[in-house]
Amino acid sequence: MSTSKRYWRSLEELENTPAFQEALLKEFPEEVEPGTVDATTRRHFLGVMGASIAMTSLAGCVRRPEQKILPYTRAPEDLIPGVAQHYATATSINGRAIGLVVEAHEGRPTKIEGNPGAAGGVVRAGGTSALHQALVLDLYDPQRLRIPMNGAKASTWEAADAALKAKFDALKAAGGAGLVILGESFPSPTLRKLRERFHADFPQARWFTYESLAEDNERVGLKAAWGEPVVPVFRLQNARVVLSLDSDFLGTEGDVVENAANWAKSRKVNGPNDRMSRLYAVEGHLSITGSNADHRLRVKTSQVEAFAWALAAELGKDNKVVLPPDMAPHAKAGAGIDPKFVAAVAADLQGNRGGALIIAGRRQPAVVHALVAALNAGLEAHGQTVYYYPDHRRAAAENGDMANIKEVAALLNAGQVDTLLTLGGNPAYTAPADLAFAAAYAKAKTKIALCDFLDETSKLADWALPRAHFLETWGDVVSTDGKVSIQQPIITPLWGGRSEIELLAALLGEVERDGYTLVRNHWKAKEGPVSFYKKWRRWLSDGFRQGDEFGVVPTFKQPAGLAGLTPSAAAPAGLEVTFFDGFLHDGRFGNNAWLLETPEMASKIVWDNPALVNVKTAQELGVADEDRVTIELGGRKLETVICVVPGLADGNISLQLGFGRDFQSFLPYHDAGKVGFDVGVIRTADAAGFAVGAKVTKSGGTYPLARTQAYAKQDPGFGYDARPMVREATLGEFQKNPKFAKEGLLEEGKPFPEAMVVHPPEVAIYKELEYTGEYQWGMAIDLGACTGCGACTVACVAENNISMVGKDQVRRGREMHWIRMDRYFVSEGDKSPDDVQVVHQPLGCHHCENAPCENVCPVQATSHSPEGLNDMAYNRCIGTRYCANNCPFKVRRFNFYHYSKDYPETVHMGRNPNVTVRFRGVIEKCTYCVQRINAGRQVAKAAETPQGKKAAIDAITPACAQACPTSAIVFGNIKDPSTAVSKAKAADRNYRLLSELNVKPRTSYLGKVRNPNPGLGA
Amino acid sequence: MSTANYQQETVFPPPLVEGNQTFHSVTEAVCRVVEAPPSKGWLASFAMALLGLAVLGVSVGWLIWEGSGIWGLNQPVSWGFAIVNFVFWVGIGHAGTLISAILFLFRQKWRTSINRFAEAMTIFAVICALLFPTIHVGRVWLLYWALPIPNQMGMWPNFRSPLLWDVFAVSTYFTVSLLFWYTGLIPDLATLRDRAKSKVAYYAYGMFALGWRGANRHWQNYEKAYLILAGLSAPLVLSVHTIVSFDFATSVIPGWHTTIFPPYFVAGAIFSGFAMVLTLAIPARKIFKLEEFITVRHVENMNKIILVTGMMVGYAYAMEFFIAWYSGSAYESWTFINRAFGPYWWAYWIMWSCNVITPQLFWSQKIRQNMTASFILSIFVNIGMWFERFVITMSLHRDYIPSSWDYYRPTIWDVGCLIGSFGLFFTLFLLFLKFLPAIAIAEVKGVMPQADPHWEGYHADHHHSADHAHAAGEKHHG
Repeated sequence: MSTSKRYWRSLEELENTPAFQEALLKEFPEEVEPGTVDATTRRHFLGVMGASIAMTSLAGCVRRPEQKILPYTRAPEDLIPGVAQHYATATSINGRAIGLVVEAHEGRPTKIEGNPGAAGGVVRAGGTSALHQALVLDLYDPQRLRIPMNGAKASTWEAADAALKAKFDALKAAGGAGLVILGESFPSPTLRKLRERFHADFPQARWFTYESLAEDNERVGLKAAWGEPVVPVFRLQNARVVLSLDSDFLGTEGDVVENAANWAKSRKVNGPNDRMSRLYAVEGHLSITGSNADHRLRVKTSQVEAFAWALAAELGKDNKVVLPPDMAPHAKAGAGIDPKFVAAVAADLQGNRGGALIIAGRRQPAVVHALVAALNAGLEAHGQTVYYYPDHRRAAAENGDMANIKEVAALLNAGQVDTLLTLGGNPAYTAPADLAFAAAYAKAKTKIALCDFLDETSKLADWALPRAHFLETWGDVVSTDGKVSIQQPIITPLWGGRSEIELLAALLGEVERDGYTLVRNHWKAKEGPVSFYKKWRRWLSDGFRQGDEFGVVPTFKQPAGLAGLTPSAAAPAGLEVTFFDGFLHDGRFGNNAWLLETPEMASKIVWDNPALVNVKTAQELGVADEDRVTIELGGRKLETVICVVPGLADGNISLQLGFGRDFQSFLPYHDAGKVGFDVGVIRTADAAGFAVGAKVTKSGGTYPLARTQAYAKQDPGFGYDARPMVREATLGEFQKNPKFAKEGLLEEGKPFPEAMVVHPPEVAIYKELEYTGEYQWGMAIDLGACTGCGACTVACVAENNISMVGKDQVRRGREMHWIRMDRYFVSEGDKSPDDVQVVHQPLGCHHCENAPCENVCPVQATSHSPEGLNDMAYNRCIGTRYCANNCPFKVRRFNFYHYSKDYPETVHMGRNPNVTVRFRGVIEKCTYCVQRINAGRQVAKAAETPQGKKAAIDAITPACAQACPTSAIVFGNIKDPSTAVSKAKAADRNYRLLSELNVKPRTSYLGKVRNPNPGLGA
Repeated sequence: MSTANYQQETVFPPPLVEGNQTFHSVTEAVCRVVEAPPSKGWLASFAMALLGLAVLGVSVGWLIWEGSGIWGLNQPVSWGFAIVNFVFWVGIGHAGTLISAILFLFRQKWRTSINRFAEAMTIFAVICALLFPTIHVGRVWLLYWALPIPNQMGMWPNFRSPLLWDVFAVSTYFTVSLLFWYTGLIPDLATLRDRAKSKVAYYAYGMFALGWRGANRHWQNYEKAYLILAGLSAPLVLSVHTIVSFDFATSVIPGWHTTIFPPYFVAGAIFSGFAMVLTLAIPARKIFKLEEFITVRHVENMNKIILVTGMMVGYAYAMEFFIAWYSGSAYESWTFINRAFGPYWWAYWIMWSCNVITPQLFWSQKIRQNMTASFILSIFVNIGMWFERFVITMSLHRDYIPSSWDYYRPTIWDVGCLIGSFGLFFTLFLLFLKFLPAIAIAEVKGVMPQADPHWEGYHADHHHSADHAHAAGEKHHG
């Protein structure tokens, strides 16, 4: 090997420079000298390592809950986790159908909205009532019946099916003899079809429809008038003068959502030339409708009939309205009925022929309904403001619900019932007291109950079968005016319940017995197979079927007259009771905490149903609020408590139905147990609406009542002027001074006369914030349109996971509602405190631009967004409550306790995942539904066109505005002058509450306009 | 008690210490209280105080466990007893600082017998006061978020919030008061150390005496430190309650939103503070036989201050009523009428009676010098001043929008916290009386005639007439 060969690595080595020699001796190459490249020295490394060990061991000390995450192995179609889905569906309460849109998160329905849109050419309101809003809580109610019960024993569907099959096979062999079905009033075409099949299979079986809040009188009265059982449908948008005879058509009776929406349309005044309808109410109880009346005549419920006859006499003068011959003799002025009022109303109705409408309430006897039909016909209302449709919820031969339940009781007592099947309903609780239904029920040999809860009825049943919630099963409903919607499930039955049609199909031995096939086959048969798939998809997507279920609506011209009905005898003087329903309806919502904690309109009482009496009656009886009393009626006794509410008729006692049942509480600060008083113990089948001859005695002692609003006037007392919270004017005043609501606004430069001057005018302490956001959010609430129904309050609860606190906590003034419904009574100077008018004012956070709550928070837990939202960082809040003190509107709510502690798992399922559930010790309040705003902004950001962007922004609606049937609440971007909210804010009636404080609220109100009859004076 | 001396007040001011005391007898008299085994009276009082403390412990424990809901608070009235108690206790503290700092700076020598006492009262009152905002928040465990502690999340308190100003004002006040009190204690701690018989006492007092030997240099530094701290404390007398009043005054609530609040609160604080000093001192001088140090003259001087400040708060009550009307604001004037005749009328009239009407009895010298009467009237003032804060806080119950009006009813836990805070206060105070010299020995000696190097007594008989002795002392100091 040659030694001349050199192997070298670099030129430096080849040349063997001194620098290379030096470098060879160095342990580390220069570039990596300690500390020259990175700062990690050995010491540093050890330090970091030590710290890491310390920190990991510390982190290991934190106990984290063990959770299992189950990914979708097969993801449902179209589901994007975190993005809500919306499905159209429908339901009915007491036979009144409504189209709905349900929001679902990861398959769990969380929020119910009305389904706006056009069905069969009729534009539907998008709102709902408070009841519809609360239905979603019923779905998740932990007390729902989960498995079939065989008596007291838990059973299974297999066992139940086998037992039922054996039973029904035997019954079928006997032609159905001894079989009785007692159902709720289902407006379901599929069920109606199945009912026909049932009658064919079981010819001797009987089927009765029963609702405790029956519309029997209307049915019987209209049958007398028109010869067939019909249901009236009102077109209030066409009305110019409306007279309510003890009807709460805006609050609790009939299609309230449609009624309220249409009524508000007839009263919207933007300028001095706009027309406005006028509402008269004649009633004994103070209903939601009565609270919105321009004129209200307080007469006992029993005297409304006398008023109707007096009105008929007045209208019949000079043959303006020709009454059927058998009615005419009865039309005469009644004793105790204000003739001036009758004359004024009659003249007004007569002067607005074609735009006049009289509505009789369901409490009023059949003869009043027959008379009203005749009067409406005489006033040319038919085809203008009222239409009549066939009653599709009951068989034509049925006489009425009270007659039905009486007959069922009689059959039971006669031992003629072998098998009694109840489809929903709770007759053992709701049936009139004189039938002693629970005892009669026990006499059936086999009792089968399809029920939501183990209630008063199903506890006694041999088989209690869990009923599926409407959000769990397929079905269909038809509205009073014949528009069909498909009831589309959003979730599989949580506990494996069945719907009425599924159970019925099984009992009939149908091969196809699942709801989907039943409903779809029904409609396929009806529509024909041609392109049915496309139609079906379309219905499901829209939420309603195009076309009319009833075909041609019957038209009626000449009412038959009384047809055997007799006018009631004059009611005896003395006390009488009026039964009314509220948020619990007939008691079916008795386990729904959202509805139990929504205050009753007039008394603002929650969690109870005291006997309401007016001021004068209370004085005469010598009773006061919270006094325990015994009400005696026809030998039956009711132990209850008094609450004094101005505005009722003298001598009238209003009793709210649906209470007195056990509430199985999951609220940590409310004890389970009986809520309120069961007024059904004095309600009889023949006097289910009202009853005369009541006696009240004090039973000694008091009973605590919880109310959300104690002080009922805007006038603060001590001789001071009323505070201008709700600003109102008559139509005449509005026409003279369209800007009446702006009187006293500092920003208008016109201080309120004497009352609200602030010296010097308030200025902001700090430099005012500049609102630089792309959108600026604001809200306007039309006090003229608000009926005080409470839907917004419940909608807000559902949307924002608001905790219910329970009776004791409300009594302590700690209710959590983010939007409350303020109610003030208005009376004229020296008039009786019972001659009141009522104003309603929904009040949530006003999102002040100079928010007093913000600068006082020591930790900046509440501050402003650039878009004008007064944001609340729950996690940052330490709970000093200074913001709540400094809020002039008092809308901030504090979690005094951990109100959502230990909620059952099912209740958690119904929570809105986009809204934090608040912990104890933090403040919360209305956010303008910031989660919806942000969702809408995302859509806007993704939109490609400016129009798309604007549409996305304009579509943002908070829960309260969305639920409002009358669209009294509008929300949106106030920076864009073309939005509805900007237009509302530009209206003459617009005013800002407490503007004298310079808080600059983003919520403003539109002043209320009333339309009194000038002929009746103020 | 030699009231005879007072007849000559115009000629010779009365002595600051009575009973022919010598330096030694002063030391003995004060240290005796600490060194003797606890008396039955002390033990009984301490047992009562501990009971109160236990009530506080249970009330606060349950509060933190269960939530603020155990109190009677509701939606319009988010602040109740806790804030009333906070303002009440902060106010109490003011007399101590006034006596120790402002009277020191004005060379009011009569303060020496009561300043230690009053300063201790200040510290314990401020401890009680600090307790309330702490437990009052909804999430006690996050209270430190109100402090400007740098953190990686960049969270920072809101310097616009009066509550944050409170945090600084009250904590500064507590720190300065504690330092001031401790500085004054050092020479006396050394005295106790030197007299200690047990090892524990020796080391304990010795540790806190910081090696005090009474050297000239020690005294020089001590005097300087004391003067500086007095200078620092003096503005706090005005600032602390001014800032506390901002909690209310900067809000928008009628009845709170008032410019009169800062001076009104300061006057009220001094008023209530002196009343509390009397409430404590009158029984203490009796129980511990310190009548010769806390003399009738001290009590009378304090009664005069109560009379003056009482009229100041009375003026404020009348003036806020007048201004509410004069402002023309219907919300404001209504709120005041509601105070006087609304649901809380009783609280309003208790406030007037106890704070304005009963102190007028102090126009009479006889009552000013009567210990029983002074004690009873001081209790009245304490009650009245508590109610003053209650009346102010309850402006919340009816503010702008009538629909949200409500009524606040305290619960047993509200009362428990109030009683408990007195338990805490008296526990601390009784421990102070037992373990620390209740009268500033060194300072008292400084105002005795013997402190004058030219005192005639050094040349004459030790049983020299007190009048002469005093006259001599005055000559030097005057």
